[in-house]
Amino acid sequence: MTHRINCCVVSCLRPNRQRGMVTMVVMLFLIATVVFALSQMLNVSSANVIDGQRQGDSTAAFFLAESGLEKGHAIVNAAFGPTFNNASCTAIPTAASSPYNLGRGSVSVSAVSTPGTCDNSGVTPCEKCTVISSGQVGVSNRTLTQDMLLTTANGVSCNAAISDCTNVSAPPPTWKLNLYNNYPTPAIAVFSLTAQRQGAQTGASCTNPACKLEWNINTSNGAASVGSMGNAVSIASGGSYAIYQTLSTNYNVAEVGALFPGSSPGPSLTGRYVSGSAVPGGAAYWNDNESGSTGGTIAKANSTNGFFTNDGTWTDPATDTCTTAPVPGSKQTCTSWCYGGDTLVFGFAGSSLSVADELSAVTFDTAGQNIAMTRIAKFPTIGIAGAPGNVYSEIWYARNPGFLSASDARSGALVTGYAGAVFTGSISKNSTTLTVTSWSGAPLQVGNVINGGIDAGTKICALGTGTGGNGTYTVSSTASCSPAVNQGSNHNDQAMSVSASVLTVTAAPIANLAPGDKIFGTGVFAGTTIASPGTGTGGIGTYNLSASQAFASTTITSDNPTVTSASGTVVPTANTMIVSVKIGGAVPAATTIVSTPAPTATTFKLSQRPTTPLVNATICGGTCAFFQHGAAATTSFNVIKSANTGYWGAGFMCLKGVDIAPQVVTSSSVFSRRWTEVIH
Amino acid sequence: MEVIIAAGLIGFLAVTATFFWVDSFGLVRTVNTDSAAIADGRALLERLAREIREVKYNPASGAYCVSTMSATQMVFNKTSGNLVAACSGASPTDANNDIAVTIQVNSTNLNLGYAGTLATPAATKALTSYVSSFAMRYLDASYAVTASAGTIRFVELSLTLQPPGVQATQTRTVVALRNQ
Repeated sequence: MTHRINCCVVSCLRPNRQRGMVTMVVMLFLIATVVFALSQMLNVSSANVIDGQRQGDSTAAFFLAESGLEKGHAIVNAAFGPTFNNASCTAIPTAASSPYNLGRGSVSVSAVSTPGTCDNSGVTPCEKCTVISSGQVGVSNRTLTQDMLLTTANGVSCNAAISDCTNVSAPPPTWKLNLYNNYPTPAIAVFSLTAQRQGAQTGASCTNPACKLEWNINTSNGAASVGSMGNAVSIASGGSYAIYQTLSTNYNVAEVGALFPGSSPGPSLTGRYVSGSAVPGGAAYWNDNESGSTGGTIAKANSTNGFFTNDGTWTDPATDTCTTAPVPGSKQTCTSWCYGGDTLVFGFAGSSLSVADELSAVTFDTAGQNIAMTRIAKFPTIGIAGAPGNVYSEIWYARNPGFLSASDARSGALVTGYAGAVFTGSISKNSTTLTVTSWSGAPLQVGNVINGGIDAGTKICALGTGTGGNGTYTVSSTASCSPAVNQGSNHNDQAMSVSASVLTVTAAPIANLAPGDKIFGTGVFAGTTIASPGTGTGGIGTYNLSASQAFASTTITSDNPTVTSASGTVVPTANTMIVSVKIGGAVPAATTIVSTPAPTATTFKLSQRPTTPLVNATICGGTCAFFQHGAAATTSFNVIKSANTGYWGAGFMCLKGVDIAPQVVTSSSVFSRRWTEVIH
Repeated sequence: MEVIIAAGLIGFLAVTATFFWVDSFGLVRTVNTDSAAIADGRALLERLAREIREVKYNPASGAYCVSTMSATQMVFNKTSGNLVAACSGASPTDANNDIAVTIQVNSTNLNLGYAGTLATPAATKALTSYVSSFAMRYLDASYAVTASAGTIRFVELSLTLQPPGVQATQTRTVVALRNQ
């Protein structure tokens, strides 16, 4: 029974296990199928996800690398200037704190300078700085390189056929000049803008707050006429400034700039005054519509007399009540626009046929000093890529240290002296006795030959009561005193003299007599010069004259080039060109103050003798010496231009405090060229 | 009876699983092919974009060195070395350090070619043979269509690929010219 039951239990359990196996097999099969399907799906999905992720990472890495380039570009821009060198380029990674994290990845920047060793302030300027930027996101890496061409120029141009030259987009403008003052002192930057125009389309304007307008004129309304604008901007030492103008119409543009530095406190603008305050931009200006097809020396309105301006230094601006703004196309009516200046600046705007057209000379004060101005900058020049050839701009200047004396300046000596003797005497007919009643000069001596309407050749044979002055003397009408010969006629109170070639100086308030000096005084023969020194050394003493003569004691001046001013103002700078203004004498053109002896505030020497001695004169240097003087005086100037320079406009302005040689503006620009991606 | 039922179930499941399996393979293949087509298109555009970004800019003329700019063909220069301010055209020598790059669609082929003495290798090869359509548009700074190399700033690429047995996939990108 027990066995049967056990068999029954075994036989009864077997089918149940068999059913479980089937279920198990089915389940395993299902699981395997599902797992396989899922794995395939997961494989596809993960591949897509990874692919998409990497694509996204790659794109992100690309833009990270782009940001690295931008950062490098900004660093180069900030560092670029006259002092830029290879270290400025290779220091970009440090300046950028490379490598640095950004977004989901990191950026690594490096830079290479070309040439490897370069210095913009040295003989090997830097040509380009190549920035390499790598962006890394996950396993994706993108590396970009960009050549940043480093160019410095003294000007800028815009070709209307290529770009919109109106600068209507400003900021940022289409074109501009990036200035950098690398002097240790402040400077004034002067800009000359030439804008092509046609018809009545006008106008440039400079709206930057620091941009001072100096002149703004248009030549004419015809085809290929030009507009000329001058601007000035003060720039601190080491400072920079970006200047641009805007135009009302899209035409070709050329602008050039120059830096005029000065010692502390720095240069400033001259200009007319209104209500006692300076009005920057009071420059005089002119324009012209002469076609200039033949080039050469030209003149306003086709005249042959040259251009002219008033005496811009005539009126002290502190007292000038001028309120009239300059009128384009005419000379400045105010006469103080250049008062106190030391630098005359000429900005020129010309239309042309090619970038080779230019001015060859600018001469100021052609009727007097003939100041040959110096060109400091022209733009564009041959080789400027993309520059329009139908406009150009130039800046010329003439500099002369400022100086203004007190009104007591005298040239040469101021002494009291005489030559020979001058006296009044009487001789009766058939007498040998001369009675002197009024005498001056040298003592009369035995042997002196007497002039003055008496018998020719009469000479003193012996002293009577006179011992050189008043009194009686025995005279002979012939050369022989043995015996003395009587006079042939009566001579009562006759003016007589005894000539001598010796000047005796008895007083010398200004002891500047020297051999070669021409002397001036009452009774002095014209053209008399000091032949040689006697006992005198410039003051009291005797001097041998170029001609024998007689004059009573008198005030004598000379044309010695040494100038004395008892009041003194400031110590003039050697080589300063000067003129005499407001009373008292004149000096030849191009007269300067020499360096030896060293000038002082009260005395200095001129390079040339005055044409007439300076007596209580006012002497001025600076731009004052460039002008013809007088309220109604005019000063002419000429320009010589190339044959294909047509319409042109120009303007003058003056600066003061410019005591350092000016230089062309250094406009630093970084151009990104040759962008490449390194393929890994 | 149970065995019969079990066999039936297993048979049914086997048939179902077989279809499921086969379909899964087909689905995977289709998805993979589509993904590959999309990836190919993306890679192609990326390759073209990398070339187009490097179009040379001639500062003398103020224009990019693009000598042909049509919807189906673009020929331009890129610089291999220091920049020389001149465009060399379709067959540059090494005087200007230029390489001429040609992007052209020809039937179902999208070709990328290099020419010039500095091009290594100087050859034209098909990037793909499954082009359904390809077009280029040249845009200025304001995204307006331009035909001037002086005003061009962007190039828009539109590419449709359709490998055999796969749905057509279109990809599009706009490339900014980097040099100026």
